[in-house]
Amino acid sequence: MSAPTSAPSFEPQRLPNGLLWLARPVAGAQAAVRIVYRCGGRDDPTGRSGLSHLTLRLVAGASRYLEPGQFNRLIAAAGGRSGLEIDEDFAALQTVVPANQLERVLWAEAERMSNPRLEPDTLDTARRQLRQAVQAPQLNPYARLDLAVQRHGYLTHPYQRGALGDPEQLKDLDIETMRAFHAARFGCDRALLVVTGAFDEAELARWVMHYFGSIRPPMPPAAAAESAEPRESRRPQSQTLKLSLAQAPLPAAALVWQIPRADDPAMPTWQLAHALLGLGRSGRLTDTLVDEKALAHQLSLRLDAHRDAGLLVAQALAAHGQTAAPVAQALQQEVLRLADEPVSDEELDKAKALLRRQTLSNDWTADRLARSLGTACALRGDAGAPARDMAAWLKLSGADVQQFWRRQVVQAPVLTLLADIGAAAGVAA
Amino acid sequence: MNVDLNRRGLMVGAAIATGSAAWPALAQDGFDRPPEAPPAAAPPPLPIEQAKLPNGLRIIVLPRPGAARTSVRLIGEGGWLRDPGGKEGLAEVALSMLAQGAKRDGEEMESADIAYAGDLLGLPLRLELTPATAEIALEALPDQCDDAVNLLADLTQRPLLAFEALEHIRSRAVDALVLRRADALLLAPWAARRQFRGRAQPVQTSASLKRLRREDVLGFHRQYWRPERAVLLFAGDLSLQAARGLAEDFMGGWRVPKLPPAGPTPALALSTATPMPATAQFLPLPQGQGCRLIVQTPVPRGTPPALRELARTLMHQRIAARLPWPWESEMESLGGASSWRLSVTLPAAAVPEQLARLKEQLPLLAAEAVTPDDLALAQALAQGDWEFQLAEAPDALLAQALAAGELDDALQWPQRLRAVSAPVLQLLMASSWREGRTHLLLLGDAGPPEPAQRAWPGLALTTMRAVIGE
Repeated sequence: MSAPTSAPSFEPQRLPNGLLWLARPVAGAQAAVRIVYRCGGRDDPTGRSGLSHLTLRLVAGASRYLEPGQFNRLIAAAGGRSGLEIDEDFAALQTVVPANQLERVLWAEAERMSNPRLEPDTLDTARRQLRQAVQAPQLNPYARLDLAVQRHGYLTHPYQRGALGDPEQLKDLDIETMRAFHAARFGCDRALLVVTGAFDEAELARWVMHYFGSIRPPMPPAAAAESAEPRESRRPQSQTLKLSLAQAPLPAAALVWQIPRADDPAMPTWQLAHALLGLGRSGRLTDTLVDEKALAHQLSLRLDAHRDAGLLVAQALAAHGQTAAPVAQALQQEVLRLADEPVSDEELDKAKALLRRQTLSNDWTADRLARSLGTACALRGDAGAPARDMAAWLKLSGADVQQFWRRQVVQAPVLTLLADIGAAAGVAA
Repeated sequence: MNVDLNRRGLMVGAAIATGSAAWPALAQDGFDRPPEAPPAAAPPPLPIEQAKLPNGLRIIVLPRPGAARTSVRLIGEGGWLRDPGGKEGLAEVALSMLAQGAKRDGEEMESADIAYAGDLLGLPLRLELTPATAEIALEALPDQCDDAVNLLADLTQRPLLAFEALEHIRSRAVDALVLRRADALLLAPWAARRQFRGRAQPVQTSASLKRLRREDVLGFHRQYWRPERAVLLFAGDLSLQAARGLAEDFMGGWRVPKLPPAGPTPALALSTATPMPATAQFLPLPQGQGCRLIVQTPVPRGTPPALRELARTLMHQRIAARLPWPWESEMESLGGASSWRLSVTLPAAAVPEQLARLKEQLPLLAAEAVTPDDLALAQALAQGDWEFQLAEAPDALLAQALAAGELDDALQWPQRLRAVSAPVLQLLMASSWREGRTHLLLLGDAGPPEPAQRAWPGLALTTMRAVIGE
């Protein structure tokens, strides 16, 4: 343990109660506080999808000394904003305030962590909020395709359930089950506190010790509640699924490849390949399929890296008059072409410039940096991972990326999802 | 685990158990209340610097000492309010076509070259259309600002505006229109504007897009991309002198047309249009599950931006507390009466109950007294939002203010907020959201109409043709 008054460093420090914390200064007038619990959708018990999400909402809702709504009023009166974030791997609370209000936020976050009100009435409120959060994305006519990517992209891992959860699986949840889950998963020894922005380092260290150092560590049995680490299976062969989006306006297609866990040493190569294909206005996919061939109206390429496994998802909305299958075929060809068509130095420089700016921009505001540090710690166990990625990109050549692509993508099985409009037949995904 | 333990008592106990002297030494106070709130900081006005080139191009610099990158944005007057009658969509198409081809040193740059040039700077080129402006935004390292300004100059002074590009962009715009009509979230602002302003509000249709000719685009470009009507905005670690030098190098030769601008005429100046009488409409959409609910009320023309924002903020707080759904709110000013909008996404089953509660609560919430605490809360939130935007995207904040003709307000935002009194705020709120002045719009799947109609009498089914025009 570091002395309470020592200056915070880049690496997280551990308080005696197990809480990890780290702080980074950012120029400006704001400060951000992020609490990350190492518990997300992956940790939901079978048959209780969304329990982590529900617990996060309870922690955010009310506590011993914060009545429902009081936290939000406190932050609003300070001119700040706060929110919560549920992910497959973590659950997070983030608040940004004018820097002179930092101590009050630390008090409030320590209070929420320490004394959450886990009672039947607050459980009902959290259930309602969860139902609202699940409902919102369903307004999108392509919501079923997004759901299918998650559900069929992963084969065995709980990631396939997503993070928001299923309200139906939580409607009969009793408060004791909820309390037990909270005790096992949302203790201070599973949390990370990130503070960024304008602050005095010594003063911050005192505040952290004062407000967070006093939180009781969980009882020993909580640690025994750990379950086996979930694993993802390798896709044995390529597969095509059709789903009918009878009322959607344009056909759509998605291609899904499995990628390794977020802390895999090859992650920088995945990122650079992703940038070459999908970042910017001149990424190869948009350049070829939207601008040159006019097959697609809209394209996206996502690298969803998670703690245990991840997905590379290429998704396209077909241009008017096209159907899903040829768009999927062209999309696949374009993704695979990265292995064959040489990457020029200019193209590589451009991709690196986009990646570099994306990474460096996380340091510009307290809000972004807190998010970036918290996510790097939760997914990769290393707050310095983005900086290491940048160093790795510099060393990579176009040939390195192509060789990697041949090995990891060209030869790998792919899941193809075809979503035609109208009366498309097939397996309902 | 007993979560109700008093942390102070616990801390002392733990310290005894561990023998640590460090734990209790710092815990002199109780934890039952937050530390005293420090006085709110009062930031000074934003120190922008301005200059003008002989050709009339206005240069604005927001100095950001130490900023790693510089935002560069060229702002023209061709926003979608300038769409001519029957050719709605022209402003968007004309702006998109700028990135489809241009000339540099006599050589043609294709869309891929332009995209590459923007990406090489680290952030893709962005084309942004607001009601009043068309904008091209880039971002660069300090030593790449010349590349950024050079590219902006190419796109606006030497665009190709080719026929093939028009066909490509038109086809994409038609697809975007199809998507917009199927997605309640995308459709909501347009349908709400039509409901509020009637036919005075330009809205794209596939027919209006089909009518566009290359000559329309050329005329529109000539009319609205002119140096004396444009602003070159910088936000970053550079001086006005440096910014002016860049502008002179690449835009000093941008000539002012000698003849008065000629081109298509906007369909109607919304600044003279009055809001439509309040209606309640339900436009069913087969796609998606659930519906988007929008209510809107007019705010008198000339209401100061700070007052509008305080009213919006306070009402947002009140409605979120009374009707606990994730509401969104905005105040849209297009020159005439502003539209004050509250929106939320609801599952079909919740619509009737929420409608009934909304109908009852809206006038009550608006009429509640504005206490000094209410005013202070709204001021803190409005200032906090401003600071957040300033940290996140200062150029966007200024561009938005320029587009609305409210630059001075944006620069002196904290001071303008402090100048609003509770009685004035109360007056505005109490005069809004009255029954006869509140529009309701439901988009999507709100279930069978009868329960919703019972909850909000007068709610009438409508069609896409009636709202959008086709």
